[in-house]
Amino acid sequence: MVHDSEAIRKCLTGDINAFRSLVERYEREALAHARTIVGNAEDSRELVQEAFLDAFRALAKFDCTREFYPWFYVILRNRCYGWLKSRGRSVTLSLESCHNVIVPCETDVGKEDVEEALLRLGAEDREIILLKYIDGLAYRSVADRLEIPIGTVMSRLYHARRRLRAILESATN
Amino acid sequence: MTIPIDCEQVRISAMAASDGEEGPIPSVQVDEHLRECAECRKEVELLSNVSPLPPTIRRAKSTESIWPNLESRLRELPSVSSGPSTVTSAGAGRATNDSLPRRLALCSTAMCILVAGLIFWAVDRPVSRRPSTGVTSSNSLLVMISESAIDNVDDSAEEELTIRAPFSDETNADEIALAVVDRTFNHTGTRFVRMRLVSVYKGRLPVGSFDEGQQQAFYVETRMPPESTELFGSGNRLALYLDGNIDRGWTVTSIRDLADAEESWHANVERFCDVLLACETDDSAARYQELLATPDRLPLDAPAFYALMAHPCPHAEKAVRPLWQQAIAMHFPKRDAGLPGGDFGRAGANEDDDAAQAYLAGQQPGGQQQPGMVQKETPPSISGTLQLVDIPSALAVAQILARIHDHESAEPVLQYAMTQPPALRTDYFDLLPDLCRDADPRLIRTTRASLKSLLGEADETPVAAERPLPQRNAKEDIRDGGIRTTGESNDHDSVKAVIDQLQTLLDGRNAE
Repeated sequence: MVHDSEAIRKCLTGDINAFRSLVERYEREALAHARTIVGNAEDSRELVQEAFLDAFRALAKFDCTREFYPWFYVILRNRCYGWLKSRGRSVTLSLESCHNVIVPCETDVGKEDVEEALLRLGAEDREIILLKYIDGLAYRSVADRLEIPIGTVMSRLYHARRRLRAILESATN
Repeated sequence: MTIPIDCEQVRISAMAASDGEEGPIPSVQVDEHLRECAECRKEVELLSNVSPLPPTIRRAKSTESIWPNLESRLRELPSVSSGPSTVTSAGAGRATNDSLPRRLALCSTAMCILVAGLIFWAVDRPVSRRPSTGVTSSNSLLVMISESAIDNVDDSAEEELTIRAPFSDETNADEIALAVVDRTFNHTGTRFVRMRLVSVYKGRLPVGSFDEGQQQAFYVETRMPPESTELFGSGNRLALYLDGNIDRGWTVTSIRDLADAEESWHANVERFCDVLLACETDDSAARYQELLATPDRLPLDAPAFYALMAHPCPHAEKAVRPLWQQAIAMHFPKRDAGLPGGDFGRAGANEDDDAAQAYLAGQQPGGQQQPGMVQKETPPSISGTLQLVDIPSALAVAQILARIHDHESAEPVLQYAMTQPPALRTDYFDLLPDLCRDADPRLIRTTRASLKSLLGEADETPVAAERPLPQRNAKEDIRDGGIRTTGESNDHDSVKAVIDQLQTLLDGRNAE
């Protein structure tokens, strides 16, 4: 398999097939992340495509000593939040769309509640919680992805967890 | 002098510990605080008992590839269509050794030259130059240009490079703002651009269009020095991306930087422009107060905002000073204020805000609580939007206060900054000499004493007893590389260097 930096180097010489290897390597992850933010598969696919186009145009600015996906993720989330903003920044997710964001692996007593709670969270809260607790990223990685200081990651995560907990508690009550 | 620990920081630290991470407060202090604070104990217990997500949840994965559709779109790109033989399209066959970015730049430049002069026609049109009222439309296109670039631009077309800022028809911009780059600066590792809005075009836009293959391209353009070679666009927030140094001394980066920083703090470019505009116009004081009266419209909690405000802006400073003081009182209460816990916590925690508002409503200038005033109407509200939760904000506020010679208010802010872990306060060390340059000697002395205390050295004017710098190894610091990549010894050295600089400042003052 061609290494990312090698693929990018080839892309910069105009080798479009090299870009294909990057796309195919990361598209699933990208689609999942886009769904986290925008909530539905169809728009996510479009936004991921747009983000890959953005990335292709901006490859010259990519620092090959860094990993590709965290850099791409920034582009992707800019696309996604831009889209949300164009929709009035208040996209209401349906339960169905929430199922596109996360899926239970097996039967779990609280999964519906959690799905519902995630559905009711704001996109940014949902994003940071899933990055941390689904993707298992370290705070530093989350900070890189979101381009915010690590202290802000902690603060945001804390408040997001509080909001999630409040929603779950209200549902329970 | 003991500095109160913020409850929220304790809870965040506890959360970090449960996540296997290092929080803002050392675990020893967290444990100590938890022994004394029942509310925090309860909160931390809830945190540790309730997992945020069941382990049985995972992300949905798509199985359908986007490549087929993406490939066709990639091949539609003009730069790709004229690319090497690996690409088959109308432009194939004209293989070249030029790299893709190079071809992009050449293509862009060639097209730009074709449409040179349009923007100046537009700028000079009296009907288009209306009094700036800020960028208000959500479909606005913000174009940054360098004022010096305009001043120094050579009328000779041969020496100019015209930059075209393209946007697609889907941008649907109904408003274009031309912003002059006033200055840029680094703040806590992020480069910010300060802009001054020149003009806003609404309605009929000063744009042109041309056929680019099968696509209709729209453009607005301006002329820039030859160094300005790169374009960057994103959706309807397109900006010129000017890479490299222009006119010796400053670098322009994308408005996206601002947008991203702001977005992190729940604001947007339009609001930012409002603020910038308010800072730069003659009637800025009134305008600024108007903006402050609608806190939901302001990114008051954005470090970038604080940082920008720290730069010369006399009108806004005058208008905003009382509100800054309120904010300081709220978030950095004086330790002798006799407040339970010594700190109100942070905005966003409503109960804390209520306490803060009650305090502010009942607080008299002398610090006496006046019965009956607690329930009165609160002052112009900052609570709920102001979040001085991080060190960049604290530093920027301190910087502002020092500039307006409100050293009494600046001191607790500085003390707060000193309580942060080394990784967070390294920028603070760098900032201190600048911060103190115009400050009252008393503040310089206090700051210097704090730093000496931090290193465990005695000083003739002792201040808050600081814990010594924790031992950190180079690997840890590299891991924290987003902030700073220094080793422990460097951290000590930097503190010592700052102490020396402060002493030099003091000596200079004495000499004066």
